[in-house]
Amino acid sequence: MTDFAARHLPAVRPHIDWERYVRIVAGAAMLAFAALIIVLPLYALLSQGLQDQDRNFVGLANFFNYVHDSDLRQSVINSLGVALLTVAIVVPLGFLYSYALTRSCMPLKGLFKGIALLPILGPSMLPAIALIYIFGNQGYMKWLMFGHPIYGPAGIIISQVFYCLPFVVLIMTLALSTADARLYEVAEILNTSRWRVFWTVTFPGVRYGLINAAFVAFTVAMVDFGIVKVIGGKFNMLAVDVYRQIIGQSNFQMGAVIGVILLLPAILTFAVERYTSRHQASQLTCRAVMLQPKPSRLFDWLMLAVVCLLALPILCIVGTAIFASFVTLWPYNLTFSFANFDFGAFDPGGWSSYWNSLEMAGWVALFGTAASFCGAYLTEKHRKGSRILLSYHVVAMIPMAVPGIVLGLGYVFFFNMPSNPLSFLYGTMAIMVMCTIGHYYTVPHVLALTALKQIDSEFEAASEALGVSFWTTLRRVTLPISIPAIIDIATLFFVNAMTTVAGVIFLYAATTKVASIAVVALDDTGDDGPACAMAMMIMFTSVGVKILQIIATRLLLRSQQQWRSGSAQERAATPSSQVTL
Amino acid sequence: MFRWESRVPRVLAANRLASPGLMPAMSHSETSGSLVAMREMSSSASVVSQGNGADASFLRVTGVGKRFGDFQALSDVTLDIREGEFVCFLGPSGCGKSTLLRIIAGLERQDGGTIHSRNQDISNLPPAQRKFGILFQSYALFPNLNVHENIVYGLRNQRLPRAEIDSRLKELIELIDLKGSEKKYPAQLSGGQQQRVALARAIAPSPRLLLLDEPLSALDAKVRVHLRQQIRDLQRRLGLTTIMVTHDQEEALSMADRVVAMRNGTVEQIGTPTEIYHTPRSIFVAGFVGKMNILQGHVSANELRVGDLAFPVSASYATAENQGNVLACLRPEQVRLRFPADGGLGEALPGQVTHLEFLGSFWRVSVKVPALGDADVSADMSNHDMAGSPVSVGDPVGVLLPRERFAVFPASRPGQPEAAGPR
Repeated sequence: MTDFAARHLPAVRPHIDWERYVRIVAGAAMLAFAALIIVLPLYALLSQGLQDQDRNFVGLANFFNYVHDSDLRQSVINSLGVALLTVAIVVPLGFLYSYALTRSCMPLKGLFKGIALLPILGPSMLPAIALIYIFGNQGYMKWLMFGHPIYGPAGIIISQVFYCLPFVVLIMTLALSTADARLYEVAEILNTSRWRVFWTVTFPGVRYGLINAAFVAFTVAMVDFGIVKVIGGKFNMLAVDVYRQIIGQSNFQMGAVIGVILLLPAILTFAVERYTSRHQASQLTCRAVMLQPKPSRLFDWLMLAVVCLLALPILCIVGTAIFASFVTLWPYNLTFSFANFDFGAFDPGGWSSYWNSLEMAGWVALFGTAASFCGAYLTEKHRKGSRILLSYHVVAMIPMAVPGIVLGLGYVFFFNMPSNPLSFLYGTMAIMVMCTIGHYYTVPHVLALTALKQIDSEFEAASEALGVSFWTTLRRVTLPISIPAIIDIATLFFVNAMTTVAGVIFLYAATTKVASIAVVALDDTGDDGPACAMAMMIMFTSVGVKILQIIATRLLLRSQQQWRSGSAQERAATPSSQVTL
Repeated sequence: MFRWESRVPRVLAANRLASPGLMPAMSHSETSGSLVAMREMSSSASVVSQGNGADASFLRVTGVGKRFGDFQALSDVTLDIREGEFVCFLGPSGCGKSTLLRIIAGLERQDGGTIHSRNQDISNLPPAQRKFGILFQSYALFPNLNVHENIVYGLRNQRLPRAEIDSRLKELIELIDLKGSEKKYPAQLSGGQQQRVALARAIAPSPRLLLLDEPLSALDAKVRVHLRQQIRDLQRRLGLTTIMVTHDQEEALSMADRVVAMRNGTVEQIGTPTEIYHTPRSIFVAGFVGKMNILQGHVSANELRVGDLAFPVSASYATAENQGNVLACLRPEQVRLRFPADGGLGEALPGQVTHLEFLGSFWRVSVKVPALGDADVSADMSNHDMAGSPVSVGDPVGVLLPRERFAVFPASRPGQPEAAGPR
């Protein structure tokens, strides 16, 4: 008797292990790419900070000059003050909002979550422009300012709070939704008051989330460029100083010094995030029971009222922006018209900046998604014993700690170097795409890693044992499973690319001006209406893409529900977080 | 290249039985006969030049070591696996058995030592080139591919004609008894069914060796026993050399031709299940496999003293290191009980029942025996005996110990289980 399995015992014949070489080459290519878009520009920036105008090494001399400049010193104080105040306001508000969304049974949770996320779908200039319409010299609620100007710290802080709220809400809803119901049951059985439960169970559980949210908000507020540019008036902040030093005074060294200073809070946030993520993870054991809020009439209505109260200013700001963009000339002629959308009449770029934005966002989404997914795939599935991929992972985590304006500055220095063979990229769409991908690289990388971690790690081993190359398994198994995550990442890249200003403000040329830059330019020339309209175009596009993503993911999951069972893949499909710096 | 479909007669179809999994194992002579035939075919195809030594072991692991950071997962592991054999790596979690399996598969790289298959060094070959099939504990079935696609996953690479793949798939589906489920996705199958699909996928490309990594531990007890038989029957039928990793001693004893008992990254004992069970070579193996009464004793002049009693030391334990203080081990089923109602205890040692445990098919009775230094001795008692002479805690009973069945180990080795001392 024979059978097919053991009958022939094919000989083992060693031949070239192509997979090994492909793995090494692919890893090296990813590392080179990441180094090009992230490390080298930063290196160029740092070295610039240590040189004088003639590229001689001067050590920390530039930094000493900086400290001696009282105007610039004032900027540091201003930036710190604004950022701290923003944190003090936005974190409690965001916490309250998230608490209502996660711990009550109030109606319309999805709608209110969407409203809270609206601000990141538009450029940061949007709230600033809208605030000028509301509280500015001709604002319809100017009386609320009691004669104080909105230009300056007040306007900056209100705009920052608006713009930081989504970050806080995203982090806090995540932290608040991972709670162990058993702890609350025990507290209830032990007859503990609600107040005490909050301080002994709820608060310790979200402590790290709060710290995290505070640092993220601090950094966003510290390094944001668009808001201060529009509503800052004579109030100086670091991010605008960089811009003035570079564009206004061509003082590259001083710009680099400020850039390095701007790196500090972000690096701090990065460290805190690393530290807290380790603790947050250990909060929840696998045996924990997810907390499901129980309906309570009074509490739910109270929470709904709170959320409505907080959502109102958001809607008010966005609504004002929409309204202002559709009137002929605020506040003199309030008739409905598309005059503001005739961008060509105000800015030589006209509509082309919007199309440039779409083009850039498209490329960023395409290449950014491909690169971050490939890199994360190699890192997650083939990292073992590979120093190349370990280095890649470290590099991919760096942008988290690099403000856009700093990275953009690094690009200026790096690609302007006469010795750089890639200097031909300067002033092209490609360099803007690279910078934007680099700026937003960390979150997609982490998202892809998370999604890939949920896929059985034995798949690679199984296919290897079956004699199937890893790229075949990638194509036939890993990619199809990861499509929801890939859509998620692409959306993230697209939306970020639409809204970004800081990263590309130094890099655009006349032909590659994008919409967000056009907003700044239009606002600069006093064309508030068109600036507002352009900002709204960005927001409409982002919201549209976001809705498209939700629909596409739903349809996809429905068509694949046969094999997608369990919650693991569902979780991979939901947009987990869009927290970026 | 030599391929099975062109030269090997396909006999499976002819041998197909009504109930898969219940086919009698083929006799040994049949196995070796067909294998000899195979080797001749192989060498006539001038493919295998080194592998025709008839006495060469199929797989030889020599001095393999593996370290993960500070943790020595394996140290100096040496073992031989013969053609057509079913070998179990048995040990507690963390003993290195899975690491050893993954090193054999090529999924981990050993720090030192070599692995030979039929005298050919495969130590540094990537997994794909070793042509071993692996069954993972997590099944590792591709969720987005259906049963059909999963099973033929490794076949598509061999550039087989489509008809060939289809007929092979048909055989495999019948072999694992999942006819009609070809279009189902893994998520729509039960755990046992998924594991069978994974098994079919592993053996589809005709592996030279099948590696099973705790294949049954994620399944219900009932399914586990059933699948245990199925895997064993399939393995016998295919004559497929197989290594299985398990921490379940019952699984190892019931399935394996030979068991490799492992602990702390070293091999403690290699032997047939009966050897492992009846003549363990270390106190660890004695304690890990089955229940063991462990008593403190003393050996001098080939005489084992336990409490007030003396026993001869059996030949297999009369070693130089078994001198002085020792641990004397005895299986509960080797201890017999006598009851006063049977007409006196006779030569049995008087004792008192301290604990009763009902284990379904039998009772385990703990008896305190003054003659053994007040040690607690466990004895198994059938339900039938229990019905005949019921005992309860506190009852006096007699204990009969066999003369030469003690397994003896030196008393002074670190990390060993504690002997049952006087209470």
